[in-house]
Amino acid sequence: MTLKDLKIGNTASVTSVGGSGALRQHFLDMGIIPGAEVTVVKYAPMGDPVEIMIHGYELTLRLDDAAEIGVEPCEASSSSGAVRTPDRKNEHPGLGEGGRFHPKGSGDPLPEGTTLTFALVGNQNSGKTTLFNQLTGSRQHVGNFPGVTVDRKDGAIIGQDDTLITDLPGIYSMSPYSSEELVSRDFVLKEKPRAIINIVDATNIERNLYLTIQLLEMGIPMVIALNMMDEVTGNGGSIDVNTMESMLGVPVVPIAAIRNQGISELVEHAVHIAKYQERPARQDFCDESDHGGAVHRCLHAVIHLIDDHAKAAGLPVRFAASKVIEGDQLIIDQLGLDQNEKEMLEHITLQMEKERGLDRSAAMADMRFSFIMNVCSACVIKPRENKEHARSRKLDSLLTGKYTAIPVFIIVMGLVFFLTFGVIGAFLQDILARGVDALTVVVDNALTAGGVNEILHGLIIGGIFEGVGSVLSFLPIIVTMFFFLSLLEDSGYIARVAFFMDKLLRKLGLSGRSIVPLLIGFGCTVPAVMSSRTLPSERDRRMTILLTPFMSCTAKLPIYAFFVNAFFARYKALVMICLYLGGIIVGILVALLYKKTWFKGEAVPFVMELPNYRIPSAKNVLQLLWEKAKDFLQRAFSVILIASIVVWFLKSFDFRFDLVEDPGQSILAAIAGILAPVFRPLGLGSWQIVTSLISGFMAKESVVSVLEVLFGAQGGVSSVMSPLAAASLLAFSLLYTPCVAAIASIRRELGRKSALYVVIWQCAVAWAAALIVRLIGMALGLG
Amino acid sequence: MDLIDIILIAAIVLCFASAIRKVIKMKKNGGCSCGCRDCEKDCSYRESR
Repeated sequence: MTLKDLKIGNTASVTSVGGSGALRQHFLDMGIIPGAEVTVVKYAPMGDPVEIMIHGYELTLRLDDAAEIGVEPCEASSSSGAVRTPDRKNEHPGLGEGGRFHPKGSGDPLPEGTTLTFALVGNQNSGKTTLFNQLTGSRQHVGNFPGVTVDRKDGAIIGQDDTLITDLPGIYSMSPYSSEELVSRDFVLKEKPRAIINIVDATNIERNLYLTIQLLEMGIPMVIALNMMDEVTGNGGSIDVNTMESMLGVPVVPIAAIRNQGISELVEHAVHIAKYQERPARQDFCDESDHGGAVHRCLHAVIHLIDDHAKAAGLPVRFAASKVIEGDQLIIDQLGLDQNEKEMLEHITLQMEKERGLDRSAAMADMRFSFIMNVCSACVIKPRENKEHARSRKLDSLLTGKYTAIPVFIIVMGLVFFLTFGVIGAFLQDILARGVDALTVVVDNALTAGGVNEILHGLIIGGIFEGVGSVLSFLPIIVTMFFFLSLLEDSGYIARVAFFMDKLLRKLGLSGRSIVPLLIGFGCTVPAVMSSRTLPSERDRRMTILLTPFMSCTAKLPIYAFFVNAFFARYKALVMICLYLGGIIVGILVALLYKKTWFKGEAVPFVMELPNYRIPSAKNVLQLLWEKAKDFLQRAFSVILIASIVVWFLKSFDFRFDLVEDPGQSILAAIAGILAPVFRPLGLGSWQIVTSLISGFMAKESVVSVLEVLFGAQGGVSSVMSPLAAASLLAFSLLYTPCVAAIASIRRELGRKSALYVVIWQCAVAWAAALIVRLIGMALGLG
Repeated sequence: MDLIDIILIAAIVLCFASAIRKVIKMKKNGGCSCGCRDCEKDCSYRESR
């Protein structure tokens, strides 16, 4: 029987873990090991993937992968972790505190002035970035989705000179499964921080300690920050910190990062262990009496065998031995073992497998989880189901329910767009546009009254005010859109969308996790491209990045709003919806094309943790809004200001720098005229439109400002363009190359060739789509 | 040319120069001009390396 065959609510014990390679290792690292108890929570609305409960947390995986896991039905135990009430108060071991106990090392501090470097390591969604922000006073983005941090971030601890703490992407183990896990592992191994701050989610302690055990094996000074202790104690649980500290051999500090509780104590311990280089008192977690000590003997034999190689390679020997047994090729290569040694290692490992009755990876994972269970049974009193989880369960019955998930998703997204474009954003935009218009009139009158030079007057009103002013009024729409996207992400809803959209996205060759970059793409392509780093497979990551430009970003909104208001005011909402849907449909077609050609094969397995729903923090949301508004204003007064002035200059002068009466004689008309024939089949052959589209490559918003500058004197764009040409232009704007910032981020992620490919490919697709729109319009007699 | 014209020209030139400086700074940050929080931090991280 396999996990796939279990019904909702059924509990079973894992008997075998099939599959191979990194995915199998990932299953084991996530706690799916022989003997573990799993309960099926629910199936996604389309029947796949499945959500299971294991070690007290919820994990989702696809049915194909569930079919690889052998199970045997059993009765659910009352609690997933063996627990008992600690019967006596244990003395505090005092690790990481001055003048008490130095288990290893002489206690000599590092020389004054040495920078104490710390790595902040922990599972995904355990609160690392929240803690980082508390420690450093910085304002990094935090979200309720596994994998918000996709690159390392540095900062000094407040009030501690000569410290540098690095926030690393969340990882589940030291086996590199995704590129972010590799970033974290490489940092710890290669940059050798003076100490590690390991953040552990106390509400999900068994799985979090798995990473802790591997970090302890590295022998680097470490302090454990038991985060979310407020939730544990608030729900009737507790953790005997003193016992845990003596069992693990490193300081353990209970904290609640979000409430800033326990942070100063954590900093004191962290600085102490880093300064005195107090290494973990315990690195050996194998049990001599377990199955005749098979794993214990194997591990110690390997440690002796590779000791010299590990030292030469600068790797912690205990850690290297574990990885060699697990068959981690990256570590084996680094050790540079000779053939004899490799053969000897294989014999030792085979013998262990035979004696233990488990394969090497499962045996190592089992050894670690056995130790963790011992620690938990000695120190942890499990809380009753916490309020957050109970609330999530209730919400999930609606938001991920079989018949309700997809309709609710459509309603939620519809509501986001309706409120953004129809109610809040549009209302605020109207107010701002009136303000800008009034200011323009005031300045215009003042310049006239002051008898300012005519050319200068033209530059200020026709160039700067027309250009920058027209773009400024779109600020409210963009900020409102980001407000809703941020609410969805911070609440934990987007993780659910990934869960129930997986089956659909798999048909396009993508994984459910790809939905996150794609949804963020509706805000801005740059963070969307970056957020693709959480995808564990290179194939999925590349394909997702190449598809994000099809999701219409907020910077294109001013273009849509401008043309829709000018030409299709009666069908405003309909045209807007058609544009967004158009982008999605073309994206789907391109995805299918990629799947059949460039990205043949299946998307990687979907293994993801579903976080509890949380109420988004007002501070976090407001901070995001402020930064988006600041960013938009910065661009309006830099890129768009320059574009407006340059365009005004080029359209006002000819090559002899004489002022021209007819802009058709200007420098701009001559330059843009060269490209105009390419756009003629689309009905967009005028030099003004070509110019605006070129400027859109710098920043999409500037398309509108340039059109205002160029057409302003002729009574606006509606007097010189037909509705069909406007529709063709909208189709082109929707799909053509993303702005230079997005291209730069694609270049960073995929390289120069791919970035160039995106520019050319997007332009070609946009050209074809605009032509189709025009031909359909002409066939319908609209031209 | 009046004094007011000269003042206005000077103001525009200053604004223009400041805008160009800002764009150059953005470009230095790994070609990023989006300025959004995630990539801004990413850029400053890359710059600090």
